[in-house]
Amino acid sequence: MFLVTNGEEMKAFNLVVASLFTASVTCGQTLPGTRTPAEQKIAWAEASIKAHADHSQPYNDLAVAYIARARETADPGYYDRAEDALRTSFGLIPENLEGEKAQIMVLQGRGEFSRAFDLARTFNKKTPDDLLLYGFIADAAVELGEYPEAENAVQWMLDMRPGNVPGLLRGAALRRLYGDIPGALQFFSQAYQQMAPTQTEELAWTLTQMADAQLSVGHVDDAEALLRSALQKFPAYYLAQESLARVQMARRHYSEAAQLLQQRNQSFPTAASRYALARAFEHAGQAGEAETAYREFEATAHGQRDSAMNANRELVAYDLDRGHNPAEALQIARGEIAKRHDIRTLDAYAWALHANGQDREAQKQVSKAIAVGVRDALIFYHAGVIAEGQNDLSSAAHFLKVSLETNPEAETATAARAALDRLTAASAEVRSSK
Amino acid sequence: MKWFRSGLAVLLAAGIAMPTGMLASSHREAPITALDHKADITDLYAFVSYSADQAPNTAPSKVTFILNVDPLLEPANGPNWFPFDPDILYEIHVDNNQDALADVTFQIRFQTQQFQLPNIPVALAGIGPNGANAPGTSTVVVPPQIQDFDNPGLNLRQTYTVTVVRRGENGYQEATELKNSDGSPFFAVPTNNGPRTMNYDALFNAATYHLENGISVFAGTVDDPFFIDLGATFDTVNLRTLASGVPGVLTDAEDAASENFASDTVSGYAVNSIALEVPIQMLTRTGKIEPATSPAATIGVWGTTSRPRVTVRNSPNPANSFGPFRQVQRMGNPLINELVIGIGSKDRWSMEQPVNDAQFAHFDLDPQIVHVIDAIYGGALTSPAAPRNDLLPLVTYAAPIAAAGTPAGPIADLLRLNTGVPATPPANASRLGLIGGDPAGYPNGRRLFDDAVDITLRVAVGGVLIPSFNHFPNNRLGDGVNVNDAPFRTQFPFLADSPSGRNRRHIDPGEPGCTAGTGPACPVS
Repeated sequence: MFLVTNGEEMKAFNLVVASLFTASVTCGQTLPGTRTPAEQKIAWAEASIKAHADHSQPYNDLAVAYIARARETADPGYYDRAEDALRTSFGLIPENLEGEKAQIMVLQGRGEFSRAFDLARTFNKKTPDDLLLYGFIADAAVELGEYPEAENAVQWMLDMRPGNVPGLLRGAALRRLYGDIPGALQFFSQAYQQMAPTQTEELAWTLTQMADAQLSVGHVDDAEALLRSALQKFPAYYLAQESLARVQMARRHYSEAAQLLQQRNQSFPTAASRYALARAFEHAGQAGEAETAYREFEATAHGQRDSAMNANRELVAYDLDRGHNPAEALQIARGEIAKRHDIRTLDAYAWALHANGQDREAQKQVSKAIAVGVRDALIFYHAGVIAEGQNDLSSAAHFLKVSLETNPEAETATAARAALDRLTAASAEVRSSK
Repeated sequence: MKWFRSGLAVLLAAGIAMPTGMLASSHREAPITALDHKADITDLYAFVSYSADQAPNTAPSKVTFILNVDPLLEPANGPNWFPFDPDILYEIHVDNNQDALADVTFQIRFQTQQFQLPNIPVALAGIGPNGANAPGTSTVVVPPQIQDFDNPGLNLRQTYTVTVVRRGENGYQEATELKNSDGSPFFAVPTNNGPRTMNYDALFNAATYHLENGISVFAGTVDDPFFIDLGATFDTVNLRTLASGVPGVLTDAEDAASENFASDTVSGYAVNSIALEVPIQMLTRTGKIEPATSPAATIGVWGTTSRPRVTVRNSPNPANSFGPFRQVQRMGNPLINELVIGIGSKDRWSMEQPVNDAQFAHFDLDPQIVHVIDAIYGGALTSPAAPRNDLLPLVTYAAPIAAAGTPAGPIADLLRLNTGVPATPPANASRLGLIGGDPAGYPNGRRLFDDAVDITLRVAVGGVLIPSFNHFPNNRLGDGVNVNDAPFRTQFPFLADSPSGRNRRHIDPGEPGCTAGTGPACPVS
């Protein structure tokens, strides 16, 4: 079953979305010289520690503020600082709930999803009324591909406190995974409207998520408008810059994409953002810059290969696409699928299997990803090519068509159209030979 | 080729925190219901029906269920008063085969009609036999006294439906809507504004419906039948020192008296009530009235309120949902969520199904309130040690409520009622129910006049179901509020009239008799 966007519903919804973010466009800008929301929280927590150094909660507050700063900046060093604060907190009151919640956030931030999942479930059993613990269960479950568990946790959030912002944001993420883009945008916008105008990073983050959802179904202009608004709210926001680069890639404005990613990578670049930059250079025809960026990506990604926060899925893509090393790609993908079975990992594994000539197993894996309900042009493209490899031509044509229907602006669209043409021609040839 | 970014969850986790909930008072025992009064269940009652002239050992024939919601309604708090919420699904569930799942459910839904006189600023009525016109016009601005549900002075009136849902084999459900024989709707009794505006009793009587199938139904705003020294209880069990000289301990005379020695904090307040009287054969699994000695005689009862839910998936996911509603609250035994369930689990408890109560067994069989009260008494009171298996009759089917041979079933907070135990004639009934030698009272079901506070203190803290703990002071624990401030009816729906907004009276601690040492007894209306 493949869901397609209801065009009228989406149009009407876009009007609502547009009005909500333009209405308060100047409310929460971070001006030069002013503190960001996370910096303010850090200052408050430090002042509170000075006043009550023997209480655990100010240290928990400081840890949470550092975690928020990590999201503002992409600087993983803040997780170390958060852990330092938590050590003091636990020294004062072992296993205090707010400290444990911050610890779970640190684990999530470092990509240690299994540990985060276990810890969240443990404390959820002890304190089942704590809303955020359900959210943490859902966060980790999504990363691990445990979608029913994630949905159950988010449903509890929505049932316990209808309309609560953390529940809506997680519900939106799940709706997107389940292929319900209008439903995801509805939840995102409900959450957005409840956020304080001073929480500029949270506002920008939400707008960025909405933009990504719009971009996933080819609404490039809507995505760009949302991202421009996000960057007004939280200037130079790296997540919005990364998304805006994807918008430019969708427009085939590769130099602009590269420029945005160069800006983004000026501080705390990730392996993934290096990979995105390398690809933008390559598409822009800047071969030398691309080569350098790919080398930097490769070095970074290989260095992180065995750590929890890695870029192994990007490494698989690189090995298959440019590194011409399908065997290594499959090895890495197998390592990842042993740890998690979310749709991204399933897709990466399937694509690596395909590249190694194991189309039957590849079809099985990509089918699992599709069964979740996601509407994603890339996954459908992969499914189509894999089905073609299995000589299942009707399925191949179907998946390729769905890929194009889902997002006609996707980077895979040209390849999907070519594959579809190839299949049509082959089919015509078969008919004429009969 | 594009690859997906990971880490949406990482980024979410770093995001927004939420304020935590807080415990309010007795009638708002969980954070959710502290925010949602309309869905807040205050009390649940279930008892074998009786009459004023009940003879001893009269064979039981019907059971009355009463579900009260929306606490501490001040009758003078107009002009819109306290309608039931049409968005809430109110339910009374009956388990008749000891599996803690509903076999018979009564679903009650309300509908509101408003603005019969939309230009009048507040609800007004009661001038003259035909109402009063604006001077020089024929336009009625003040209708006559409200004596029926068609009077335009009501301005807001509510009807309701009652649907009986029976669970059959393999989860099959059969639903039947109850109706008046002439098909007319059931009206809910409004708040008692005062004697000029309405004849409350006339409305009350008109809204008590006796149906052809033997079921009776009633809904409306009535006197809150719960009685308690709420202020003292929630001042960290700071119960008053009465004649015994020990706080929260009654003398024999006080214990036996049908009067109050401390103020009933709920006095003068109203509550929204739904009452049903049902022939017993419609409730038991055998379809018959069973003797008290029969394992089929005991039923488990609980009430719930639910609101429409927003689902993660736009269409409900049967795997994760009990239906299109989310349960806001439930109640079986009184005071469980207030006094027994830990503050970090109250909402989850409220939203869970009783059949899943094993997760809360550590609260049920080692109530923390017992340790709190032990600490307050400084060791002068000896309570049984955990695990408190003596409390199992409250959360399983067990003696002295259920007959020998009744399957215990899972741990579940249900109000258990042995439908084969004859009702005690009102003159002989004890406010202390089962522990007062009255087999038809709480915790064998719960009647309106059962003193849930004193019984709970003695059973949970005093451990008096264990003979060796049934001694002074354990069996004299009490808050000094023994009776309700308003007299109960002795026939269905058994509830007392709502205090009127004009003449309601809240009895306060400062009044003679309502504070220790200041008088012989606390006044009761």
